[in-house]
Amino acid sequence: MRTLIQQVHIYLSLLSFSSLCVFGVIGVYATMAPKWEDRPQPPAKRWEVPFAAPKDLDDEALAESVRRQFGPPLSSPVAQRFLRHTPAGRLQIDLFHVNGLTRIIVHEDHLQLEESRAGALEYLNRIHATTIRNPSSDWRLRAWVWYNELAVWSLLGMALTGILLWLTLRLTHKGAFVASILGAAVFLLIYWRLQ
Amino acid sequence: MKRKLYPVLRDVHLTAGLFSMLFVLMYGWSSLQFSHPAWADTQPVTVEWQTQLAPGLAPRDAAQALRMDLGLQGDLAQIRQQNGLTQFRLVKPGVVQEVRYEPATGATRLKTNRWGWAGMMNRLHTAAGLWHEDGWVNLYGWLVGLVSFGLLLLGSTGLYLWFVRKRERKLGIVMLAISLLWGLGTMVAMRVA
Repeated sequence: MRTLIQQVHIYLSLLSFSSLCVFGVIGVYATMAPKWEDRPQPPAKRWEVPFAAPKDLDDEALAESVRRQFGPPLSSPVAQRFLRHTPAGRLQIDLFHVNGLTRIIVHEDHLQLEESRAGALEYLNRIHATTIRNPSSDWRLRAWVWYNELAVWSLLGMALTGILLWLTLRLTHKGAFVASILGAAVFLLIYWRLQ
Repeated sequence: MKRKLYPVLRDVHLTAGLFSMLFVLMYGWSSLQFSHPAWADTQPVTVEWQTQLAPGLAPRDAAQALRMDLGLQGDLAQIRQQNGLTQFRLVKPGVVQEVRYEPATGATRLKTNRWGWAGMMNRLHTAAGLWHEDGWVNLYGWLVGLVSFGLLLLGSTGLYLWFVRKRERKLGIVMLAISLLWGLGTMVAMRVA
């Protein structure tokens, strides 16, 4: 039984290895990064494309038509409540995606596009938070969210099997015992103070 | 060399894992709550109440008065001043105070949002950084960094501990290959999209 638990622990960790590395890296990044408003924003790339806006579409339908034709492949449809208008009354479509933000402003005869690409660490932060709750028609995003789901279950499985292995194999290890008490005490103290 | 290295790395793996265990369980469970919001009630309990502060205070001074006089805690955030009204929030993971202060009279209305266990898990998951005004939140930020480094240490030591075990090597290589193809492959594919 112990051997089985050990094997489960090992195989779960190897299966989710890529995600676990991401979780560790972005945890360190989140610790060291300044607050959001103080982070340097990536420079935006701007360009225009000709576009004749159909007159018979409402904002939501127009936004979806524009997104499908000109938006980044990893963007999702924008709900009505998130659509904006510029002070000049033009429809502004903000497409948030794992690689950054693409803003499209619809003029009568052209589209004005502005793309800000997230840095590598911010990209990892975004994908770690992209879950099966975020539906997408893009195969890459779908494949990722299911891998991420597997990684989360694996993380829990690893933690639980790891605790079991400690209790059955290494309970007399003094350092490990002290570490478990210390870690638990610190967590519970923080929980109590931050509540 | 292998004979000396294995027990050392095994002890490092064990110690790092056990120190981090409650943190890892918190991250794992809260991740499931984020993916499956119907599984737990993560909404806060809200209570509205009123108090009186001195009139004419700037937002930061009003926040400090609430901290000193009433023991409220948290980072000052989302300051808005409009139509003779000052609004701001005092934010810490378990409690958010929404404050509406009238500088002319000092009348202050507050909405206290307090999270239960499930909501607290989610709030701890998203809390990080060393820039907070609250020292306890900064301490938590240091612990997040330590546990995150611990996760990387667990991964690297775990990789060695697995590879030297001949019985699990073959199937382990298959699992690792799936991880790299599926996980790393989609990461790269999305980045270049």
